[in-house]
Amino acid sequence: MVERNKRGLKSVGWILGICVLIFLGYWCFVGPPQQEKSANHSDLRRVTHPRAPIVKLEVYSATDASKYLDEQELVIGVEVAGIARAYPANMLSGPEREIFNDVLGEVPLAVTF
Amino acid sequence: MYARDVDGTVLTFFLSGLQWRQGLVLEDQETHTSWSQMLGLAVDGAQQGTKLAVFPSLFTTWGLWKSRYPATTVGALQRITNDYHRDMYEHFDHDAKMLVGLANEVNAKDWHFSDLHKQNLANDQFDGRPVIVYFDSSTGTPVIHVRQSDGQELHFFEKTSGVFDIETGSEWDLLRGVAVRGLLKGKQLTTLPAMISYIEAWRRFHPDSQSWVRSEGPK
Repeated sequence: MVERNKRGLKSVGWILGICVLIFLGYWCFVGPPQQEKSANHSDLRRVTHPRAPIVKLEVYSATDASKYLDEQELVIGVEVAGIARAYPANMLSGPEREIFNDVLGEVPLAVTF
Repeated sequence: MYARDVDGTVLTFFLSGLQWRQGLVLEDQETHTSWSQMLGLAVDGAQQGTKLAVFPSLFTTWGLWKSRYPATTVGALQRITNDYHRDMYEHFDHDAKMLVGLANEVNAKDWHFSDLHKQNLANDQFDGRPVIVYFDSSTGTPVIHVRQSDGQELHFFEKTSGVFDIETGSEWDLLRGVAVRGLLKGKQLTTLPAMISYIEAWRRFHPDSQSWVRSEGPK
């Protein structure tokens, strides 16, 4: 009986020890950084999973594009470094495509509206 | 429409799947910073507090854009849906809920589409600068420029034949912000990075934004 109690105490000791280690580990790696994080961080809310960046767009001339685009179709247009480019809103809409990574001339552009 | 170049690093953005103030959050591959899509502001991560530079853009129809920028190119992907006609009508249905706004660190001002439908030209001020807000009612396209040319303040008015400035009588294409006839022909106004937004969302991001009050009576 005494032997068994001793063994029991020993394992309780081990369990407590492990608990302390886990707690310390949690404190070191999860606790402090959370305190340093901004108020903004807590305002971030995950609603869906991340999507791959869109970096390759087909580029058409106005004449070619007119074969496919409707005159009344909505676009977002920009002129940078003397280059004008329009992005059809229909192709720049959620949930997967609200941002394009493009380059106009030598200007890297984040296309979004 | 933001610049991707931040302090010499070109960022590649993707949708993070997060929201901030119920708005989209972008993340960049290079620094894994979280950016508010609405503000262009880093809200969390390595670059927190940094703001992306904004390029002025025009949200309009393909026909109107092409008429103003005939040399334009088109950046395209496969269509998401084929009901892009419906997109347009939804857009018009939404006009009652939409605005065009300007914001900086200190001030924000907004012009509701419903007011601009009644008065499509507003000689106004933003943050101490004279601005002209022009709205093409037929397509629901707003644009905002600084109404100054070589330091001279201008006031615009519209006749059936076009838009003119009082000071020199020059005629302007205000979608591009260019004088097309008269003394100032060829002069270009500075276009401001105005944002189109739902009124409700704008209020969430700019709670102190001042809404334009349309002047009553004849323009």
